[in-house]
Amino acid sequence: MTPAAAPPWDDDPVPLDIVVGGGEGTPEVRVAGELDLHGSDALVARVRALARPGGSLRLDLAGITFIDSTGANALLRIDRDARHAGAAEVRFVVVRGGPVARLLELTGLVDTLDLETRSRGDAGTA
Amino acid sequence: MPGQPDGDVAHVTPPPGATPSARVPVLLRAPATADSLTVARQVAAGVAHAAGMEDERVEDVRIAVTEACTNAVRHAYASGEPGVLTLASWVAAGSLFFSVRDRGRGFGEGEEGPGVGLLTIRALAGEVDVRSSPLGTEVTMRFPLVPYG
Repeated sequence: MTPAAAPPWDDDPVPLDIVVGGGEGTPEVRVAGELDLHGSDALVARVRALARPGGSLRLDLAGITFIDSTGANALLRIDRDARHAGAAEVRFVVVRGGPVARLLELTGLVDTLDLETRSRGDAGTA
Repeated sequence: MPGQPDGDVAHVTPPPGATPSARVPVLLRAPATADSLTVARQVAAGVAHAAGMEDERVEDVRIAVTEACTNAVRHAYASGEPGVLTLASWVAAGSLFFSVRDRGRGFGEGEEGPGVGLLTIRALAGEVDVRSSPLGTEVTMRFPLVPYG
């Protein structure tokens, strides 16, 4: 067999892409992939240091293809941490009828977070 | 609830729209670790599609199975103790069943069991049955295969 056929034993990636953009004090984090127990802690840790007193934090979740209650809890932790750090605005961008919007409705958390709802197919804002 | 992951399940007639593979009960045994969740829900979604389930209901299955497996990963075994979770699925009585079992410490009456995850499962599945003892926990979920009949 060629080396390319070797099993990736040591490859254990979190099934989540996290890209940080935006400016100092107004970071925008784009998250794509599957947000479950496997990626939740990594996401919370990655975002934790970004919030600034009086600044804003924006999480674009339009690329999330799967989320469960553990992932929803991670969003609550991110919101709480950022506000605790003094962020004036913590906003989550979700797709109308998409996995995140649906799960937040299902778990009754839809009014707990500041959501910016985007229609499916809308271009990104960054 | 009707049906078990073994026995006469293979003779159950799947509903219209189901592929022949929906007759076959499925067992997935995996380490009770967070990186098993992806493959568990992929297997569950494949089974649900094969059983003729609509896309939106398949999403319900993906979430519910992930919730049950997450509880096994987080709560069943002491930190650092290696554990196993098993996902079984089978078709019986016009429904698709998933059962997630661990061999962990379980949770007793009045104790705080798996909370939000179980509530989420209850919101998604037609019926949920939780059995827990010091020998482990088993969460069985039923998803009706409608419309048919």
